[in-house]
Amino acid sequence: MFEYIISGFASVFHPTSFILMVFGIVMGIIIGAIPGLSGSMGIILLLPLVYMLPSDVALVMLCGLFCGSMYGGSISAILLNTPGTPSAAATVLDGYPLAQKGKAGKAIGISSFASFVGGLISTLCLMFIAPELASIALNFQAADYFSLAIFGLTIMASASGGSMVKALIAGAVGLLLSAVGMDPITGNPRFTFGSYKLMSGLDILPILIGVFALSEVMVKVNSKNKGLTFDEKKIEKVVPTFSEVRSVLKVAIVGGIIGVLIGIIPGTGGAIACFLAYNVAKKISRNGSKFGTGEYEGVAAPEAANNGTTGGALIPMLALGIPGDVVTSVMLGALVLVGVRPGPMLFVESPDLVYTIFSGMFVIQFLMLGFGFLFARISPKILKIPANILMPIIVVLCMVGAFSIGNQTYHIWVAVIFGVVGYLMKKYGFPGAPLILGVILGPIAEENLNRALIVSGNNVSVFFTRPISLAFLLLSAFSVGLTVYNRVKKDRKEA
Amino acid sequence: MEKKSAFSELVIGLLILALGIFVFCYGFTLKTAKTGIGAGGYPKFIGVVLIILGICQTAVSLFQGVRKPELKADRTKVIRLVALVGAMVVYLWLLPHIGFVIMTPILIIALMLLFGIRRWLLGLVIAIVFTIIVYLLFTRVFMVFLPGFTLF
Repeated sequence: MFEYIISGFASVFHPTSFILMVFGIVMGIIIGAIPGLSGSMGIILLLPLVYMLPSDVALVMLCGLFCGSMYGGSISAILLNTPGTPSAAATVLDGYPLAQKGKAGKAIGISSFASFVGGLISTLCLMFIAPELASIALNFQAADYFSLAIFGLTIMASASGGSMVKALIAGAVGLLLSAVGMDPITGNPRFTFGSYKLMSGLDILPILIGVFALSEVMVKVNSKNKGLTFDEKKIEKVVPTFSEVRSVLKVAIVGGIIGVLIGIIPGTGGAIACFLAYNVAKKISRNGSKFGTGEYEGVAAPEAANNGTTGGALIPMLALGIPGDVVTSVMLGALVLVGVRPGPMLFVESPDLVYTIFSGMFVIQFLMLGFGFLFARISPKILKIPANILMPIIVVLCMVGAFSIGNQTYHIWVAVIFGVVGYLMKKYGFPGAPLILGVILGPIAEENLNRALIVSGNNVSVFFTRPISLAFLLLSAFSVGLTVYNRVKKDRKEA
Repeated sequence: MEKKSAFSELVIGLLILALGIFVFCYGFTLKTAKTGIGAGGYPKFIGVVLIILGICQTAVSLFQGVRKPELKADRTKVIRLVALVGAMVVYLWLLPHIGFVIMTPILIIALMLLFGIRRWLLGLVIAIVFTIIVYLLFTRVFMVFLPGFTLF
C-alpha cells in the first residue's frame, strides 16, 4: 500500500497532472461560483479534454473540478445571497448576513478553511473505507451485481426528491437506452429500427451533454437575468485569524464527518449534508441562537459538510461503481469514456490509479485552501459574467464536445435531442441523474442477470437465496417503501 | 383546497404504459436462449418495469383527480425555446457544408441576441475570438478536425 501511495503522489506532482489539477480546481471554483452552473456541467464542458488525457491525469483534474465546484458555490451564496450550487444553499443563511455586515472577505476565508477541513476528513475516509469496501465487493457474484445495480437505481430514485415514481421511470428509461444497439449476448440488433448508426448503441457522452448541459441552457433562455453584482472594494480581510479558526474548528470537523456519512449514501449529496450539518452546528454551538444573523460557524458547518461529501461520494463510486451523487454519476460516465470502469476490480487491476486519486484528493484540499483565499478578491469579477455571453459559449462547447467523440455531427444531433428530452424532464419533474445511472448500470445489470441465470439454470430464486443479493434487494424495497410511507404521511399532514 | 394533479401527469402515465407495452412486445421479436435471458429477455424485463411504473403514475394521477387541461401557454416563452432549438438545428444542418469557422460566430451571435445582449459589438468580438480559439485548440492540440467549408 505504501508504495502505491508514493507512486500516487509522484503521479499527482507530475507537471502535466499538477497543472491540469490546478486547472480543474480553478474551473470548478469559477463554475461553482456562477449561479446556475454546477459541477456536473463543469465536467461535461471538460469532456473533450478528458477524452485526450491519460486516465490518471483526467481523474485528478475531474476530482479538482468536483472539489472546486463544491467550494465555489459558497462565493455567490455569501456575496449575492444566491447559492452557486444547491450544496451551498445553507451557506446563504449566515454568509449573506456576514457580507451585509462588511465581513464578506472573512466569510469567504472561513468558507475556504472549513472546505479544507471537510475535504481533508473526507479524503482520509476515502483512503481507508474505499479499499475495505472494495475487498468485500470482490466476493460478489453475478446475482449480487444485478441486485446492486437495482439497489443503486432505487436508492438514487428515492433520494432524488420529488416524485419517486418519476425518478424510477427515468431510471428504467435509462436502462432502455442502454439496450439500444447490438445485444452483448447474441449480437442481435435491438431498437435500431434499421439505422446502422444505432448498431453500436447510444454513446453516454451526448446523452450527458444533452440532459445536464443543453437542457440547462434551454431553461435559462426563459429565466430573467437578475444582473446581481457585488462591489469588490468591500472585500478586505480574507485570511481568518487563529482565534477565528479555533472558534469554527469544532463545527467544521462535525460538518465534515456529517458530509462524509451523507456522501457515502448513494443518491444523496451536498444539498442534504449542508442543511443537516447547519442544524447540528446550531445545536452544539454556544452561539446557536445567533445563527442566521451572520455567524462564522453558520458558514463553516455547511461548507465543511458539502466538501465532506466529495470524498464520501467517491467511496461507493470507486468501490462499487455506484455514484454517491449527481456529480459523481456524471464523473462515472466520464471515467467510462476514458476506459476506467469503477468497481472492486479497479482496486485489483489498477491500484496505482486508485491511489493517484487518493493522493490527488489530498493535494487538492491544500491547493483549494490557497485558491480559496486568492479567489475571494477576484470573485466579484467572475460573478459579473452575464448569462447572455456565457450561455452561447456553453452551447458551442457542448456541440464541440459531442462532435469530438467520433468526428461526426451525428453525436451533436443526439445531444440536441437529449437536450430537448432533458428540458421536458425538468419541466415535468423527472430527475436526470437516475436516467444517466440507468444508462451506466444497464450493461452491468444485463450481463449479470444473464450470467446469474445461466449459472443457476434459469432459477430466479438465485437472487433471493444469496445473502448479499437478498440484502441489496431488501434495501431497495426498504428505500422505496420508506419514501412512499414518508410521502403518504406528508400528504395526510397537508390534507 | 383539493389537491389535483395536472392533466399532463395522466398523459405521462399513459405514455409510459404504452412505451412499456411496446418494449415488452418488442422483446418477443428477438431471439430467446435456452438458458440465460437471450437478446429479448432484458427488453422484456424493462418493459414489465415500465408497465408497472406507467400504471403507478396513471393510478396516482387518477386517484388525486385530474385538473382540466390548460391550453394557455406563455407564447413568448415557447417562441424563445423554439428559436433556441431551431438555431441549433439550423447550425447542425449547415455545419457540414459551411464549416465550423463561419457557422459558429453566427450561432453565437444569434444566441446572444436571443439571450438579450445589448452590447452587440462586444458580442461580435467575443463570438469571433472565441470561435478562433476553440478552432485552433481543437484542431491543433486535441486533433479533432472540425467541419470545414465543402460547398465548392
